[in-house]
Amino acid sequence: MIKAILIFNNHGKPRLSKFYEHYSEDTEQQIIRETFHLVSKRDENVCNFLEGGMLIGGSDNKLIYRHYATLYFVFCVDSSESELGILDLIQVFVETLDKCFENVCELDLIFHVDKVHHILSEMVMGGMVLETNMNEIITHVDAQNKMEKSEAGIAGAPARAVSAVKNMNLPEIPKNINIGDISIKVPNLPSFK
Amino acid sequence: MALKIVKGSIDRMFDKNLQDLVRGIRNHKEDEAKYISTCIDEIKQELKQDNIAVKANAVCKLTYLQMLGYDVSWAAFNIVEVMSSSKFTYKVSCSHQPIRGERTVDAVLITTIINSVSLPLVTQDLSSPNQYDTGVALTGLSCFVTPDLARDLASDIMTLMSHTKPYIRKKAVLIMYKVFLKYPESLRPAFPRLKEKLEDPDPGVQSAAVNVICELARRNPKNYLSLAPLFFKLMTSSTNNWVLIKIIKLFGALTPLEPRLGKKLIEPLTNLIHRALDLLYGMVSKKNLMEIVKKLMLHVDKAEGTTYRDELLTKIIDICSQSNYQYITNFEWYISILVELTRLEGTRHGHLIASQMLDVAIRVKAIRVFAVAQMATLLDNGHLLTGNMQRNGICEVLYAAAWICGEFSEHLEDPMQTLEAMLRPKVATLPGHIQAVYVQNAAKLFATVLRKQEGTTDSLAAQETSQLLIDRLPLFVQSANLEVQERASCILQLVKYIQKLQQKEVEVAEEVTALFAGELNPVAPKAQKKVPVPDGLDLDAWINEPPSESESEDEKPKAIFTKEEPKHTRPRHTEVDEKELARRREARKQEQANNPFYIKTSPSSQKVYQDQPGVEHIPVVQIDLSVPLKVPGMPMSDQYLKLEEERRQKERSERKKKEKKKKREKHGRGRRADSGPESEEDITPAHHVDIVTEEMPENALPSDDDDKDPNDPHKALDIDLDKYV
Repeated sequence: MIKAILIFNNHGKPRLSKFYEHYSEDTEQQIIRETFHLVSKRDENVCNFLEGGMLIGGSDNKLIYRHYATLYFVFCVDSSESELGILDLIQVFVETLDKCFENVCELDLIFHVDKVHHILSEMVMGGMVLETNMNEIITHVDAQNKMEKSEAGIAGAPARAVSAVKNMNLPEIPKNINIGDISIKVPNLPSFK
Repeated sequence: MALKIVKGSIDRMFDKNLQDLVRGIRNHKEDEAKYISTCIDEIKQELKQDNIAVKANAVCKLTYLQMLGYDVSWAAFNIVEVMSSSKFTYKVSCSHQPIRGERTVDAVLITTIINSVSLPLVTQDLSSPNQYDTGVALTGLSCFVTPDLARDLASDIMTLMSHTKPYIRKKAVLIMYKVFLKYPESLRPAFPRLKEKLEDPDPGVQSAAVNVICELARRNPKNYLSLAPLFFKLMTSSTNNWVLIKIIKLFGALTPLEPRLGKKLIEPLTNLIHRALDLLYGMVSKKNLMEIVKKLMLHVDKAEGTTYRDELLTKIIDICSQSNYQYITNFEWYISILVELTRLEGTRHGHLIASQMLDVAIRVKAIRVFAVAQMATLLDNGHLLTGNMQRNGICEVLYAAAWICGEFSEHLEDPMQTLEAMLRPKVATLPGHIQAVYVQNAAKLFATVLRKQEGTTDSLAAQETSQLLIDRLPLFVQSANLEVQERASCILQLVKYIQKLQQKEVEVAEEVTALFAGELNPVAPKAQKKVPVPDGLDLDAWINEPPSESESEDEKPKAIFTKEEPKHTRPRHTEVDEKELARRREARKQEQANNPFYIKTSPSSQKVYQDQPGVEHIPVVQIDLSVPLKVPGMPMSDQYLKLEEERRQKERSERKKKEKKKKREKHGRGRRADSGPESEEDITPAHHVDIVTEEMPENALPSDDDDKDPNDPHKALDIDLDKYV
């Protein structure tokens, strides 16, 4: 059984935390900190499996982690799970994220943590592995996304427009838009923030 | 009124959604706590609104805040409310929210709310035509299922296990585990259906079922023993690695309870291990080779007396000798590994080890000194290896050892000692081809020794050496093996001649060494093809005149033989007179007397031969032995095998149940497994397969700080399932 799934960055800030057993919020935060301490000390070329810290169940539980660029993906499992299998699952998870977000980076996880939760819930449910085939997972995730979009319908349009505007990064728009002979000069707009 | 609504909706447009919240928090790094409390106030406002979309948005943000560590249990009711919405989007946002209450009063309140509100909602969702609605409900349920919910929803979920869509079936099966934990009584009715799911056509559902049963079985293994045959079938037929892993772990838990299971498991597990071993080929690199081999050697030590051990041995050697030994960085290490492998008993790969030793010693010049030293030790301890006389047994290694010492004798520290070891009488018990090598290489060593000794102007020592050879070689001259005999005789004569020369104070070392001069280099396998054809040689041209096509030639030889043979043989026969016969007999007798190979017959039978020429009249003498032939040096294990066979014969005649015998013949690996059940455990060494598994004892320490003792549900799940299977 999987006890917890954590994603945090190189400084220990949690980007996703999913616990499959009940802990209080304080304990959860402590677990995240403890896990970060254990995992960040590890060298790059050592084994990806280590024993869990005291809070997460001690030596009965194992932490299986992978380090991708700025993020640590940590799965805390008990002895009924195979370490190599979970390592593979982490890989599948990251590849799925990559597919769904198109070249996923940490910012995607920061701003779309709900989407990440959706994807994760297609893979692991109640602490047990639900699906390991990437194509299956993506099919279901896409289908559900479509459902959400179709439900939102026209009413969702203003909300989407507003969030599109908010997401626009005006300073980065080029100053000169060149369409053939006509050259339009974009005025220097003040920052919206 | 209308304006209010419009205003309201515009207001709502500027509500912060999740992204805004996150962005806001990032921008307020200095006063994060303050900013977040403002946001929480906003969220509380939003939750008071009627608009369900707004509430859903708020719940989304709450999930994020919870991840940061903020307590959101006060919003439990609202979350449940949002869940009740008919829109999928909003439901999804709640499905990740583990609703709970830490404080007891709140806990009771919240659970009541959840039960009263969610039950109808979830039921509604569970029967929704949209599979994703149901899916979301199940996911959410897995987060917050309570005993009451479990009790009420158990039957609904069981129905879902047989839903048409595999997606739903999968989720339903998986959630049953949580339901069982909270409401143990549901296990009894659900179990037969769960068992059915093990054979579901969809692989996802099947692996979910395997998952659930494995989890259950870890805590109460004995209840699931009856499922072992089904799992065995799954294991051999499934290609899904996750399923295989789970089943093997399950068997790990079951095998201590049922030893026969272990024996049955050996075959499929060995196949899996073979597959894993095959992977090792690709995995090996310079760095990890030594560690991998070290691990394999540990396994070899553990796997006593099984064919598995031989497999490992072959694999170790294959891996090391891959691509011309490209992965070996330290050949001394490799030689010492080979020497360690020789200490294995009962291996059938002695020739493999021997050929490796030879290969390395010849090809790697730098290592010859070390190799020779090791081989000399082996020869000294040769008596330890002479116990195993099988063909390709470990004594083959001595073959290699002797050759290496002889060929590279210039590196030997104490050639005299090695020479002495090679000529010990016990050597005569080795197989013939090994003895032959010993004899030949003793000669080479002799050359080296002579060279050393003559240099020191100590002629007595040299003569002593010759005398040693003359003393010891006759034993080999009398050997039954042709090759040994020939070589020994040649060398004996040579040494006698040398001794004569030595007595005349002539230096012979140079010439003796010349006998064995020249390096023997390994030949490339394609060398023969690459031999250049000399100029002017046409291999396709006829050497002689081709035979003419005339038919008369074909007939003639036939004619000669068919016609003339009767003519020839009979006249020959009648031409011979008594004198001729006597002369021939004398000549033959002389020959036989001198021929060491001729077994002299008793005079009586000879007489018979003399009187009646012709083969038909020689009587056939029956060899009647009262004492069974005893082959010297027969290994002990053969005696055990014989005992085993005798006992089995007795038992078979006693027992008349033929079916059992047939069954055992099918299942058994090798002859040992065929013996009767009572004696199996006594004689055969444990064919145990080391499955590493971490067992959770019955009374495991609680690992989470849930209100209830987590062991209670598992104790409650400890029921006898055979009735429901």
